[in-house]
Amino acid sequence: MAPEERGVFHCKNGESMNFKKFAEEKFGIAFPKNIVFEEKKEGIRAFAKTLMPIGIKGKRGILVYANRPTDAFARTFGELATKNTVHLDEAEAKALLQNIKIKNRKKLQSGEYFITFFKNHPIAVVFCDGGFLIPAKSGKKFLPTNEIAEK
Amino acid sequence: MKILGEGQEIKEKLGRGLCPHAAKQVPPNFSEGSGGTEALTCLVRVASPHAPAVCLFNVFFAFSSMEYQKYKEWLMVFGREDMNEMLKEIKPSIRVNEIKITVDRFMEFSELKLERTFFDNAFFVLDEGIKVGNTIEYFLGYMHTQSLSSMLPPIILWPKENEKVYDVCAAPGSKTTQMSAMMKNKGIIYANDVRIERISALISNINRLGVLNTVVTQRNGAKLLRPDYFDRVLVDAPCSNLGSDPYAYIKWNLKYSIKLSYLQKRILLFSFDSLKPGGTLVYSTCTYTKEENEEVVAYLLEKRENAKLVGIDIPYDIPHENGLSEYGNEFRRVWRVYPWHLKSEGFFIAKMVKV
Repeated sequence: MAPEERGVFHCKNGESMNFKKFAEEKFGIAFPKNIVFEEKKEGIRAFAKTLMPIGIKGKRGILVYANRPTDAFARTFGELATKNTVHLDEAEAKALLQNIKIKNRKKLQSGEYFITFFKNHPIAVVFCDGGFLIPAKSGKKFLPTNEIAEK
Repeated sequence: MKILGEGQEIKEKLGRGLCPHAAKQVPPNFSEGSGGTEALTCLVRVASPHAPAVCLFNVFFAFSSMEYQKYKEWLMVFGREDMNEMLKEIKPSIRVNEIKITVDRFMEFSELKLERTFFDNAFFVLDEGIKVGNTIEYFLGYMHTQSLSSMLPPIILWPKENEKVYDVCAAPGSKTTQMSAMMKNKGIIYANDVRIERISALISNINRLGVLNTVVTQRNGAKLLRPDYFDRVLVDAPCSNLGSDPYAYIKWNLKYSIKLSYLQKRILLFSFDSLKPGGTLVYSTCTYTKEENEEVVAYLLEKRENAKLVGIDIPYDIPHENGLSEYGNEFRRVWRVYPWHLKSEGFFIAKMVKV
């Protein structure tokens, strides 16, 4: 397996899915070539390829997936997203940053993840659960579906 | 130049009238070597010469005052006695995280009132009553709260893209993330710290600021990681914080500095050994005592013949004092940055190379 393909997580139905592929297909993100992924106990980490040969135990790069895509993922790679993005007003953005769920004003598709933007700056990943957009740090964990894999 | 520490010297200084207030507070028979009881007995007499049954409240404050005066006197050796008062008035500063955003774009986005500083990507925050850590800019990782003087050690180390850098005492990660931005998120940074509670802050900052070229390790800095391996090493050693914490003097005493000095020497020695020949090491602390600064560097120069103290050369005109020359003329090359230099914390910085 190529180094960048190493970050694998489990979907809702128990099947495994590659995070890079998930992010590329869900959000249309084309990752830079020097970014690699790694599966660890706490989730999936993304880091620069230069860290690959290191044989020392430690946490490399940032955590991009921990039961769901993280805010660090959105804030680092969100600008590359071309799909499943939603722009928020200031009140909504501030609510999200305080881990408060916000109303699904734009009637986004339920069961999907979206990268939210404020003034064209990526701020967080939300999970659309019916009438609400739920932030990552709400404490609720939503495993992604593997519907893309099924396609 | 001597550091205050011996009781005799304190008395000498007080006798010269450097600090008349202190002279009133400290009894004539006070000495540093006095036990706590003896000192307290003296103070009871000072606080209330006509009433032996003086309340403990007064004794406590007289004692505190004495410690404080001793500290202030000691500070005068290095510059000004009001240094920790100045620390309380320092304006908060931020560094724009150029990994995520350019300075121009940040200025467009941010609603904070900012004032330019020596560095292109660092600003004083002029808004009063705003908690910088609660702003959107902070959450998004576009900026990091960092004192101006603490930005100096990475600038002096000047890591380049694709180099291997070792940040020995990295938490909470201000300098690590600054170096990562300087390296354009390329190369390798080993960000190490020994205490797990500090490492969680380091990891949190790395996540928030989008640092991808860093591996966080939890090791004792006073043990060798990899011999002759790193291009650059930053040792921002644990210290008594007299330059950064206006209340650090409360727990400070000379013994504390000496204890820290022992640890700093070990950390510096092993960090130097992990540096490859031709590599650069920067040693910094945010304190003023010579035991934690010049003495530590002198120890390395004595123990390692291939260690050479070099001058600090950066493209900024930073006001500073030179190091204490009692350790040799070469110590004129190290920097002592005091609060009035940058309206920021006090710092000691030395740059060395492995020849």
